[in-house]
Amino acid sequence: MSKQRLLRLLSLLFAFSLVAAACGGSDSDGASTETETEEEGGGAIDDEAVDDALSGTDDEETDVTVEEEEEDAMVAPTNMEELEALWAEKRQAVIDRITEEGFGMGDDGIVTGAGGFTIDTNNCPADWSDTEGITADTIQVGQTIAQSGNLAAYGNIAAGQRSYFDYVNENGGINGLSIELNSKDDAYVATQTIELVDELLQSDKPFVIWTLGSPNGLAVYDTLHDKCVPHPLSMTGHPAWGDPEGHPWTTGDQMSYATEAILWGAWIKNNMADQLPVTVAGLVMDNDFGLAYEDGMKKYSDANPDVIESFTPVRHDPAAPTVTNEITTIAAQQPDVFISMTAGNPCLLAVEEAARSGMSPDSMVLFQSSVCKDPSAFMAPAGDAGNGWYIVGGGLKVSTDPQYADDPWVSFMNERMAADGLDITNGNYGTGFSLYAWPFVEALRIASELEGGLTRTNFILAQRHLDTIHPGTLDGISFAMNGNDDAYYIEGSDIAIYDGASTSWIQEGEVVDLNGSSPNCGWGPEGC
Amino acid sequence: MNNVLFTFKQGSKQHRTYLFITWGLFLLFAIALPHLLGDRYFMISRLNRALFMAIAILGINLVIGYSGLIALGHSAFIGIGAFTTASLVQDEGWDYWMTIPASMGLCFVVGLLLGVPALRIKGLYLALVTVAFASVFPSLAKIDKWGIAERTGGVNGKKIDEKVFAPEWIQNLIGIGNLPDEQVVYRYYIVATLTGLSFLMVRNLVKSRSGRAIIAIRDNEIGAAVSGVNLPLYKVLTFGVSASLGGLAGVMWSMDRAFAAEQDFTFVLAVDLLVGLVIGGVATLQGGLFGALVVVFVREFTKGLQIPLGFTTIDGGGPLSQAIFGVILIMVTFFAPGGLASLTRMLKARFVRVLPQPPDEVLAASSPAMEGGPALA
Repeated sequence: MSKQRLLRLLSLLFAFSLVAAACGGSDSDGASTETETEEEGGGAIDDEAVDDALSGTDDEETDVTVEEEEEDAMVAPTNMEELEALWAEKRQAVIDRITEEGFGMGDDGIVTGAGGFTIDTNNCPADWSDTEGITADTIQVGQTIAQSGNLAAYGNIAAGQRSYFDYVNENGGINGLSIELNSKDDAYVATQTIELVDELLQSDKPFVIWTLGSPNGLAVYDTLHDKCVPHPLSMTGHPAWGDPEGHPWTTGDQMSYATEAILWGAWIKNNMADQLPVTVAGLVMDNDFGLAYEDGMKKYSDANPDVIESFTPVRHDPAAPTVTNEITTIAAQQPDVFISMTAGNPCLLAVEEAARSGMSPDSMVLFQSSVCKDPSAFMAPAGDAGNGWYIVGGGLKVSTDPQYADDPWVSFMNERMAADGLDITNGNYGTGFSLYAWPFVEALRIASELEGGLTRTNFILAQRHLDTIHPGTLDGISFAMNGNDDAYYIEGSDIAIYDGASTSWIQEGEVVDLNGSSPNCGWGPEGC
Repeated sequence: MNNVLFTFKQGSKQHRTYLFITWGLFLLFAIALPHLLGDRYFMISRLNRALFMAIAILGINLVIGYSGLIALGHSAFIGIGAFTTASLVQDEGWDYWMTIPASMGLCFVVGLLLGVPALRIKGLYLALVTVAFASVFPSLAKIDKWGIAERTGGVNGKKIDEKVFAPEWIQNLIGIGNLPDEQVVYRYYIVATLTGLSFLMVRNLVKSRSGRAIIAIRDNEIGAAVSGVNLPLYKVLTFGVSASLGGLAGVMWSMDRAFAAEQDFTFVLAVDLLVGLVIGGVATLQGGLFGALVVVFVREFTKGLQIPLGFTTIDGGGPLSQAIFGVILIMVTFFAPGGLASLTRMLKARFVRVLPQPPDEVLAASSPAMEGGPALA
């Protein structure tokens, strides 16, 4: 072979290997055979407790759920007035508890809460103010969110939040103060988040700073901690947000992705007992979100070889227009269970491509990810192909699901968002309105009634002790934190199956609610 | 022509004085700039980003502008430099300074490897190889094997606990305090100094024998080969040097942010660098700086833009910021087709004219006794 030909071949191989590496999925087949010691499940619920709850063997837990359901049933509100009354009652209970137990800022500048929750404000910067960001008539809320780039669709969450804040403002605000949301586009790039948070801190000086995205939040939560600025309801399911001792100013909101992975495994164990161990394949979005799922499932798989024989993740580029190649690869393996560990449009593509590749509910169990629970966007367009898919739904009512159309909260939310000119067939608006904006306002209302009024420390105290009934969650799903003892709000889920005729997720069995079971997560290079 | 305010003969005393004054003013401005911005430290942070992007654009310019080859993968080299620095400082306890040769060296080697295809393929095919490299880099950076994800922080990014903090005597010297926010001023001086050194290095390179060889390859490859230029050597070396400049930009990225994540180094960054190159001016040294400033600051400007049209308002705070930025880029290329560097040259030519030195005077200039000629204006 001549020298020129050799060089040409080498060049071609090099280029090919780069392209192949970019396009190919992870073909690791050793995931389930590795015997390395697993760490505690990254802020996730203990999988044995989940098993017990799903199989109904944990009587105590089941009793708790039933009791809560009975309690909820007694007060089940039918309109917004009743909802408002219920929330007011819950808020008062939190205020009473904080007051009676003597939580709050002491004369020594130390804030105390349940379970040894502590913030020493003496460590805050010299120019720090507990009321910064509160003007004569507004509460300034800073936010970084992706409004451009591959994940620009998440930018709609901010519009949904703004819609609820406008409603609150029109109805008296927070003791007369209007909430003003100042969103800045970080394009989901963590370095830009750092820059924008610095800008907000040095220029706008808001009361709190809100972020979207795991790497984005992780890039700034130390800075916000050092500057004693609340970083509430981080908009991702990363377990790191449950670290009240290391990062008391940061809180999460939605169910952790790691918990969702455990719920998949627990469902398989309880519902496919005659087929165990099974083979599982996952279509994984190749970013922090998808890899959190992959990591959670891999840990469950490694720890439960009697349940999962092998777990094969196949990654796809978040910006790729199709997932055909990846689904074909999965279909060729004929797994017993297929899990779509992706988000956005690839969720719909996964449903369509799975049907085209012969992957049907008749031959295997198919799971959709919780973030793709919006039936109008991710299931209905696929027609009958979505029939029979399962979901671990995160315990949320989706604003676009017809079965909730008459729910007082969902119908109010949709009317309000439509009046604000938002497209109510887009689930991201509802997510912002309900999942994120509502608990934020509740914490503000509680903080403004505590001794000292609305301050940053009172707001964090309210966040850390909020125990309420979230109107956007299903009956039986708790929405509560408790100082250092419980650092996560939603720690449960529904399991549902998709019905194409009604374009709805039909819940199967009782919801799983293990509030307070997730261990705290001091995040580091090795995980929690 | 007659309206020109100043005319100098190249190499004359007046010309040297003119250069001394303009460069002196520029340096004074560069030194005073962070203090002019007051406590708006985030603006200095953006300035730092523009400066290390300018270095990366300088590297691209070396390949595209001076050697005529195509390299679109510099986002990956910035990423390699940033992750190398982040890992060496965080995991190995290295000093930031020590990571500069390590990161630049690693990028140089990777650049050489990427330059190998340039020996046999050209044009769009070579572009494809470099685009593939840029596209695949974020995926490579989060591979959970061989310790890669531990080094890069995987999908969650790599945070460096040790921040670049000015010693007390430097704090006194540059007039900052001990607060963490103020340290960005110190980092600005570091980044600005390294940027200045990089520009000097590349300027010397393109004016050297090697630089003339590189330019000759661009202008006429066969002619260069006939003249004795070693084409494979110079092509591959150009890629290597260009990549090492990308690596230096990456070092500064980690120095300034103490954080690097794979999402930062996607193909979007590569496109931004290319836009900066074209807007600034291809094959011009100062073009890189102009282009980087435009990419960073004009984009920020568009995000804060509100354009009332009567029936609606175009809000730059949302997805439209990219569209507005695109329109501005089209307008810039329309009014300054040779880039901002050529535009500034045209503007400068309205006020200052430098007459080239006649060949006989160039020869005579080698004599130390030679004095500059009188001003003609």
